[in-house]
This record gives sequence, C-alpha cells and structure tokens, in this order.
Amino acid sequence: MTANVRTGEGTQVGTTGPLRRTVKVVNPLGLHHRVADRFSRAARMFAAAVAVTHGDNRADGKSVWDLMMLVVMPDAEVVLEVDGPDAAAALEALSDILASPGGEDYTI
Amino acid sequence: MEYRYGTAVSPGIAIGPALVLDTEGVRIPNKLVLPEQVDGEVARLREALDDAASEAREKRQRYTARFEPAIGNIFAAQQSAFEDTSFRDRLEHLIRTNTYSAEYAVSRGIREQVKKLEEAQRRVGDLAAAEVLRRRAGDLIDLEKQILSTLLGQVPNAVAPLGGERVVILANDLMPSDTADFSPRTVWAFATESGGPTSHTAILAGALEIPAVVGVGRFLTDVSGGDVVIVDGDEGKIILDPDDETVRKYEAKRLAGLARVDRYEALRGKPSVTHDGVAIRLLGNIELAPEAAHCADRGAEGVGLYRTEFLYLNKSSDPTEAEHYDAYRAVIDEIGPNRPVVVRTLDLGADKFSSVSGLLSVEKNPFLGLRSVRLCLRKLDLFRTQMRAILRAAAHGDIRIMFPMISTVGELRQCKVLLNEVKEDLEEAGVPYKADIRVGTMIEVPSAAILADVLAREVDFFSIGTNDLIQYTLAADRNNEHVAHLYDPADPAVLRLIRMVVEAAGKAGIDVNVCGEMSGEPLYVPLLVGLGLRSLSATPRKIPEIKRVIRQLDVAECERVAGQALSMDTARQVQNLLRDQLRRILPEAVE
Repeated sequence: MTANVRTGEGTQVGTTGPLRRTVKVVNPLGLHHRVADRFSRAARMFAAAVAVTHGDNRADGKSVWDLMMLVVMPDAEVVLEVDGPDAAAALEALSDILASPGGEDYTI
Repeated sequence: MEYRYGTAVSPGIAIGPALVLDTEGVRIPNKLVLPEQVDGEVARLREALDDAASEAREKRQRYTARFEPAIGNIFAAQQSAFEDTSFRDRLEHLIRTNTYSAEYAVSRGIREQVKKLEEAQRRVGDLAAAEVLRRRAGDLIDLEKQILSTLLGQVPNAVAPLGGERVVILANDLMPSDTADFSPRTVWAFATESGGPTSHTAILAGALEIPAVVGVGRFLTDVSGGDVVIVDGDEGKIILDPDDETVRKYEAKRLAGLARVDRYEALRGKPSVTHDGVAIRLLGNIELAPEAAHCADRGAEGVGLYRTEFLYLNKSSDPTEAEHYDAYRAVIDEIGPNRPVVVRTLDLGADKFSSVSGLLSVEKNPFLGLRSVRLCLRKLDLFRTQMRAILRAAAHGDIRIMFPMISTVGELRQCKVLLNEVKEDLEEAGVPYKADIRVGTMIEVPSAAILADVLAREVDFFSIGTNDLIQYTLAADRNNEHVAHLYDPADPAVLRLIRMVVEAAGKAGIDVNVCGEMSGEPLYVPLLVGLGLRSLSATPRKIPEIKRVIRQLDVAECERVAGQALSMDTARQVQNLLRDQLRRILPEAVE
C-alpha cells in the first residue's frame, strides 16, 4: 500500500491509498491551540481520514486535543497522511494551514 | 525529605498537614466515587463539557463582534476542545477505570498533559521555546479551570469548607479573594509556586500574621493533601516530607519565635522617638477591621492606611453604603475615636480580583489602565456611596479620606468636587457627617511626585505609596520574575522622588507619610528618617521592630546617610550603604 509513496519535502502520491507529505510548521508559536483548532475544523470538512505524525506520536487530524498533545514546536516537521476520496484536496488545504505563518487567523 | 526555596513574605514557622489548592483556588471535593456512581459522574462530565462549550461559543460571538476574530478564535478553540471526542473519551476512561469523580478526572486528564509540557519546557534550551510551552500549559489550565467551575457551580471559595482542621495551604498562586478568608485559626501557613514579595497576597499574609513563602517554583506535583509540610517564613523555605529530627528542630524554632514576639511586647509602651529626641509617628496598615486592634496592641498611634478593597471582594454586587459605614465604624470601635484612621478609597486594579460585575474588562495593559481612582471617577455612583459612608463614619472618630493613584491635579480636583457634592447632599438630608474631614492623596505615580508642590496646595496630607511608585518609576512589575530585579526601593531615582515629595509637603506645611512596604523594612527606616519623614505606616506586625530601630537612630546621622544615598549611582550601592549603617546601629536586624 505504501510502496509507491516516498515521504519527504512536498512529495506525494499514488492515486489509491493514503497521500503523505512532510510539512514544516512555520507558525512562530508552533502547532498551538488555535492553529490546531483551525486545522481540525478544516480536516473535518473532508471525508478523508487525516492523521498527523510527529516523531513517534500520531494524532487524529480531526481532533484538536490530539493535535495539541503532539507538542509540535515552531519549525518542526510533521507528516500529514490523508486517506479518502477527497484526499488530494485535503492534503493541499491542510498543508497550507501548517505552512502559513498566520495559521490561527481564520473566520468561522 | 526535600527542601524548596522561595521568598519569605511573612515570618514565622509552621508545621502542619498540607491542603493543596488547585489552580485558581478551585478545590476538588472528592477524588473518588463509588462504582455505582460512575455512570452519574460520566453524565455530569458530559453535561459540564456541553455547558462549557456553549459558554465558549457565546463568548466567541460576543468577542468577535466586539473586538476581532482573533480574540473570538481563542474561544472557538476552547469550544472545540470541550467538544472534542478524543478529549471526552480520555476523561470518561479515567472515570470508568479509576472511579474518579468528574472533577478529579478533569484535573488529572489535563494535568498529565500539562506535566508533559512542563517536562518539554525543561528540556528545551532557549527561552523563546520555553515560553511557547509555558503558554500552551496556560491554555490547558484555563480549560481545566472552566470545566471545574462549571462542574462545581461558581468557583467556590477555597478555604471556607475546610471543616476545622488547621492546615498549611499550598497552591500555585492565591487570589486576594482566596486569602481574604484565611484566618490564623484555620491556616498554619501558606506557600505558593508563583508570586512575589510585594504581591497583594503576600502583603495580606503579613497582615494576617500567617507565615508565608511565595515564588517557590514547581512543587505541587510532589506533595499530596495531608502530607506534613514545614513552612519557614523566616528564611523562605519549605520542607516536604520532613523527618522526625527536622520536625523537632523546627518545633523548637517555632517556640523561640513566639518568645521573640513577647520581647517586642515590652516596647509597646515606649515612645517612638529617636535617640536624639525626634518623634517619629508610627501608624498601621490594615485591610480588615479586626487588624485595627493589632495596631493599638503593637503601639501604633493610629491607622495610616485602611485598604477598603475587601468590601468589594467575594461579592456578586457592589457593597452598600451601610456595609461601608459598618466597616468604618468597626475600625473606630477597635481603635477608639481619637486615633487617626486614614481610609483609602477603592483601589481595585489589575492585580486585585473582583467578581463585581462590570468592574473588570479585558485591558491590554491593566497597570496603566482603568484602575483605582480612575475607575471610581468613571463609576460615580460607586464612588459617591463610599464617600457618603466615609463622611458619615467620620462624625464618630478621626477618620480621614485619601485618594489613591492620583496622576494629575485634575483628577484630584474632580475627587474634591465630588466630595463636596456628597457633603451638600448629606447636609440637605440632615444626616450627621464630618464637614471638615481631612483630605489626602497617595503619591504613587511618578507624575504626582514630580508635581507634588502643585498637589500639596490641594490637600491636607500626602501618603507615599512606595510599592506602586517604585513599579511605575522603574517600569518593572514586581511579580514578573524576569524584571523583578529592577524593582528596588533603594534605587536613587525612587529616592529622589521621595525627597521631592517630602520637600514639597514641608514647604506647603502639610503632613507626609510613607505607607508602602518600604516603611516596614528596618533597612530603609534610617534612610526615610534622613529624607525628612516623620511619619511611617507599616503592617502592624512590623511596628515593634521599626520602633526598636527608631529608638537607636540619630537624625543628623540619618540625614548624612540619606545625602550620600541620593548622590549614588545605583540601587546596589545604596543597599550596601544602608546595610552597613544598620549593622552599626542594630547588628541583629541585619540577617
């Protein structure tokens, strides 16, 4: 299932199975509560399952609590893993949140 | 056995069982429930989380409308956390597997994550990263606080339900509203992880004469309720899990301390006069009416500062005129009708918690914001009510009125106009009051010190509030560990301002007093006398010690020291000078 996937900077893909991408969290406060909230809210919009891995820890990307518990510091890298029919769109949207310095600015 | 070090803020030794207060003084009533209660606890938890979530949703809407989405988003993020399935599952799991109460599960579930963040904080090298983690831990503690207060109804008063056993209170920090109900009958001592030597809580601990150590740093995770703890308020130490020998040693120390208090008793009847015959008036600072009796007991001539904030704390509505009046009459009853009592009008500010609705709002820079007399001049009904009560009570004793945090002469004039209006109302209504009440102003903002000659024409007396004067002069928060070192009463800039105020008062022929913590420190007493002060107001417990110093002083020598201090460059030089001098006149008072 993961044979055709390389993890690494901006890498993908495969049309079936999960998509993965390594993303650097550039927010100056890291993946803090509000960024985690925006991320999980966005993740819940997609049908695809979303997981975020940081070191040995893996979080459900749709849970703000799980994301906070990853303790991701500024400039750390995490692996986004998205699996489902709208995975490609989800990967783009969610990467953007982590890779933008103002990821906590959002309107609901 | 483990020693921890903090700042001693109220002397004395205490040995007793610990009562650990969780953050914000929320006390968890039961840690465990019976197995048959588990379903009920889970239901309570769900309901509390639902309530907390809807409260957060409401706040989000309110704050987004009032400020900007970024502020509202804080509450949106909290709402998400309360609704989070993973979070709820974790807490429910804690209840079901351990038969924890809902409150304890919340506390444990969140604290285990806080602890993780704290450990990470110790691992990271740089300050910025530690700060990032510290803020995240703060976010979590805020979540905990909200769920607990929902579970427990309103945030309950910390110490009220103690049930008799005398305890040592251990907490991260205590709000003034928590300590207001502390009494030496129920509390042996307290120790907190944060807080500084001149924080409001520390001052109150001194007032209530409960031994206290603050700013100990993290230790709450290492102690459980009921463990024996020693608090050494003389040396700023706490001892967790002490062995028998240590307990015996400290018990002996405790008894020796009680004996020393007796020795000071002997000074009570002696006049407060320097060795060369200059009288220095000693007054007491109080927060609560019963402390007025301490003033008289310790040989103070009156009350130099009666802080009235406690009338406003722990309440859901503003105090009535009758409540004010009764409190002021109680002070007169304690101390007698012929001794001066300086009543300071409401000085609620950023550091003083109040549940009075509408008084506190979110301010970016509360210490430079709407506090104290500024607040009163915006809430005129509140201000008038207090003035009426002060004027009426003054008909029965030597009560004087003092306005805090005056920063311009315009503010002072506004207060006086209002006071005159209130007098006219009382006159018209035929209510007895004191028409010629003496009016004073605190000098605690640098602008007031600089314009002291102008302000002196407006009032009958000055009282220098050194705590705020130092903080505002040096722009350093005394409770912020990163800048607290800048906060120094001996800083030459502060001394010059005090000198200006004393000179202006002298020229205008009005009284001037010092009522900050500085006047309660033996180290600074010779300096203050040398700067020309003839009236000092300190916490009653300090009075005998201060009197002892005064009785050794020679005014000409004090003036020489003050002159030297004024010409120095740094606070450190002044500190050394003062220490040398005190060592000469009263060796045992130095360390």
